[in-house]
Amino acid sequence: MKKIVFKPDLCTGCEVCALICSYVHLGGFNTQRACLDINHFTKGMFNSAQFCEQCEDAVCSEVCPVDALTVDKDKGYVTFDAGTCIGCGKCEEHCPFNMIEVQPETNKAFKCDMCGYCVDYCPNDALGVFTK
Amino acid sequence: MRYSPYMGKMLKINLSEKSYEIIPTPKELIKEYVGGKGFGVKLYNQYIESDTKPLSPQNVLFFLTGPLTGTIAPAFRSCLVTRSPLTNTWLDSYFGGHFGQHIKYAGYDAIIVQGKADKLTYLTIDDDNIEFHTAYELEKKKISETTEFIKNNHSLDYKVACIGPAGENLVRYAMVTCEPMRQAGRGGAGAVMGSKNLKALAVKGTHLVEVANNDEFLAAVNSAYQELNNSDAIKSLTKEGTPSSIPFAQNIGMLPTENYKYGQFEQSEKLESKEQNEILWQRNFACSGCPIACGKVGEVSKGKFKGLKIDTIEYETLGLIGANLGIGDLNYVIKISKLCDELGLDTISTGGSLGFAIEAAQNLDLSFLDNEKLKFGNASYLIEMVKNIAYRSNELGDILAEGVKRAADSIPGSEDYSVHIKGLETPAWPPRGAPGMGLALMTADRGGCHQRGFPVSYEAGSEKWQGEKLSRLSLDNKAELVISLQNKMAALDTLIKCDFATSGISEKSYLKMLETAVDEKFPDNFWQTLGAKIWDETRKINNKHGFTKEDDYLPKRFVKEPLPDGPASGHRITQSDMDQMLDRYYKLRGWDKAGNIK
Repeated sequence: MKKIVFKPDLCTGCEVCALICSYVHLGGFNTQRACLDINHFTKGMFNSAQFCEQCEDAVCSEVCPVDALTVDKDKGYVTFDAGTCIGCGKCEEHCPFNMIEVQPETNKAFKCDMCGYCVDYCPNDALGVFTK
Repeated sequence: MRYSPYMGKMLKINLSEKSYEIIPTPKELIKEYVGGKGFGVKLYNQYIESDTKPLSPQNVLFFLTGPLTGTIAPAFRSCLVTRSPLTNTWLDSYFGGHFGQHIKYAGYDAIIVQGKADKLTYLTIDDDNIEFHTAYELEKKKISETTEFIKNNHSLDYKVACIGPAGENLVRYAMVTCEPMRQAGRGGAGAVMGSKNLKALAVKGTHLVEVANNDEFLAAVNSAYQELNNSDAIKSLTKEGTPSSIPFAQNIGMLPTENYKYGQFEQSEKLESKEQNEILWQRNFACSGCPIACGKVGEVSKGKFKGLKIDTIEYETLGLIGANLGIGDLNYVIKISKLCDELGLDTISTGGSLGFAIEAAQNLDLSFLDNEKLKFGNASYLIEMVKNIAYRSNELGDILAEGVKRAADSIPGSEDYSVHIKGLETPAWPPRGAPGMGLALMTADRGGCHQRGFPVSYEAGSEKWQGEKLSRLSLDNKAELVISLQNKMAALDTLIKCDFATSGISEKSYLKMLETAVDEKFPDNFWQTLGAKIWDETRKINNKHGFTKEDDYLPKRFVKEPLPDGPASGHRITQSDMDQMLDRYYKLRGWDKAGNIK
C-alpha cells in the first residue's frame, strides 16, 4: 500500500498542499476542506500533519454499508466510488484521523485518492509517496 | 458577471447592539475598486465622517480581503482599514498569515466592525454562526495567551486576530496580531479594537473560493511561480528574510541610528542574518499559499534569553529597536521584539518613540526623563520602558504611548527630536541620501511609510528606471518615479499583494491571475489607472481631515541636519528640495499647488 509522507523539517506551513487538494477535488479553495490537515506549531517550532493512512485494515471500508470504500492492494490505496456512496457518514464517524468527510454540496464522502497533486505542488518538497 | 472569486457577502458587526447583518458585496464596488485597499477607500468614505473620532464607537474597522486572497495564487494577504488614532486620518495596515484567508472561507469578502461592546468581548465567526463572548478571562492577556485560549475553548480550526494589553490600554500604535505571528502593525488599529472593547475575532468556515477559468488560472499561477523561482531577490528572501537589508542599508548610509541622527551603526554586523541564523533560526515559515517563506522561526539557543521562541526579527525591527536605540546585542533586540509582539506594540513606532525619549533625556533637564538610565544602548532599561508604554504604567510610558508627535507636544523643548510624518513614526529608511525616498515618505497616504513606494532600490540600489540608472542625490525624475511606484503599489493592494512577492511577480502576471479568476479582460495600463484613482481618493480623505501641504514636509532632522556619515555624508533634503519635488509631484498628479484635489 501507498501513503503520503510528511517531512516536518521542510514544511513551511504555506498549505499549498491543502489549497491544491480542495481545488482539484472540490472545485474551489479552502484549506479546511482538503483531505489533509496541516497544524501549525503543534510540535514546538514544527508543524504536524495528517494524511489519509490508506489503512490495509481500513475501518472506513469495514463500516461502509454499501461497499463504496475498498482496500485495493493493486492500486495501493483505499478507493472510493462516489456513484455507490449514499452519504450516510459512517466512514466519517469511524475514521480516527478525520480523513474522510461527507461533503455538504454533494452528500458524498471525500477522501484522499493518491492523486499526488499535494506532493507535486509542495514548494518545499516536504511531501512524498511511501510505498510498502 | 459572476461573483467568483469573491464571496459576494460582507459581515457587518454592531458591537453596541451585539448584532450582525450579512449584506451583499455591491457589484459596482467590485467593478470599480477590485478589492482590498480599493474597497477600503470606498467604505471609508461611506462609513467614516470628518468628525468621527478614531477612538470613539463611531469609528469603523474594516477587515478586507482581495479577490485572490484564499486561493493558491502566490502571496496574497489581507488588510485592515480604519481611521488611525496615531495620525487621525486614513489607515490601511496589511497582514499576512492565515486569518484573512479564513474570512473568505467563512463566506465573506469583508468584516465591518462598528460600535463599542459594553464589556471586553471576543467574536467567533463560523460561516453564518456568529457569537459574541464576554472576554473577562482575557483582560490584559498577551497575544499568545489570547490566541491559545480561544482555540482551546472553541476549535483549533479557528484563526484568531487579537490585541494585547497595548491595544486595551489604547496605546496609539498598538497593533492587531493575525495568527500565526503576522501583524497589522502600523498606525494603531489595535487601539481602535481596544476602544471598541473587542479583544479578538476568530474565524473559520466551509465556503470554497472559486475562480472563473480554472485551467487558465492555474496556468497564470504557474507562471507567477516561475517568476518567483527565477528572481534573485526572492531567493535572498527565502534564504535570509528581510534582515538581508541590514548590510545594504549600512553600506548606503541609510540605517537609522540613535534616533535617526546617523545613517550608519558601528555594530551593524551584529544585526545581520548570520547572527540570527546562528542563535535563533531553525526553519522557514510561510504565510498561506506563499512559496517564498521569508519567515524564519526558532528558539534562542544560548545566552540570557535562551529558550525564547520567536519569528524572524525583521529588518524594520532591527533598524528601529536595534540601531536606532544603539543596541548591538541581538539578544536584547530579540527580547524587546518579543515583548512588543506579545504586548501588541508596533516595533517601528516603539523604536521611534524610545529613540525620541532617549534624545530628549540626554538634552533636556526634566524630572521624569532619567538621563542616567535613558541612554542609547541601555537595553535592560529599555525593556522596562516597553512595558511602561504598553501598560501606561508611569508618566513617561504614558506620554510615549501617545506616539512621538503628541509626546513632543507634551515635553517642552523636545520638538527637534521628534521624527514622524503626519504623526506616523518614520520607518527604517531615513531619507537623507535618497530624495526620492524622502518624497515617497512625504506623500505616503497613511503618513511616514516606506511601503507605498520604495525608490531606494532605484536611487541607491541596482534597479533601473525606464531603462536608466537614476542619479542618487538628484531631484530629477524623482516625482515621476514616486508616482509610478505609488500607483503600482496602491493598485496591487486591491489584490492585496505581498510587497516582497512584487520583486518577483510581474505586473502582467498579476493582471493575468486577476483576469482568469474573474473572467474579464483589463487594459494594459489597468494598474497605473486604478492606482492613480485610489491615490486621489486617499488624498481626498487626507484633505477632508484637514491635512495640507504643511503635513507633507519631512521632520526637521532630515531637513536641517546634514547626514554626518556614510557615502551620502553632508546631504540633507532642504526646504527648497522638498518644495521643488512637491510642486512637480502635485502637478503630475493633477492636484493644486497646495496639494488639494482640484
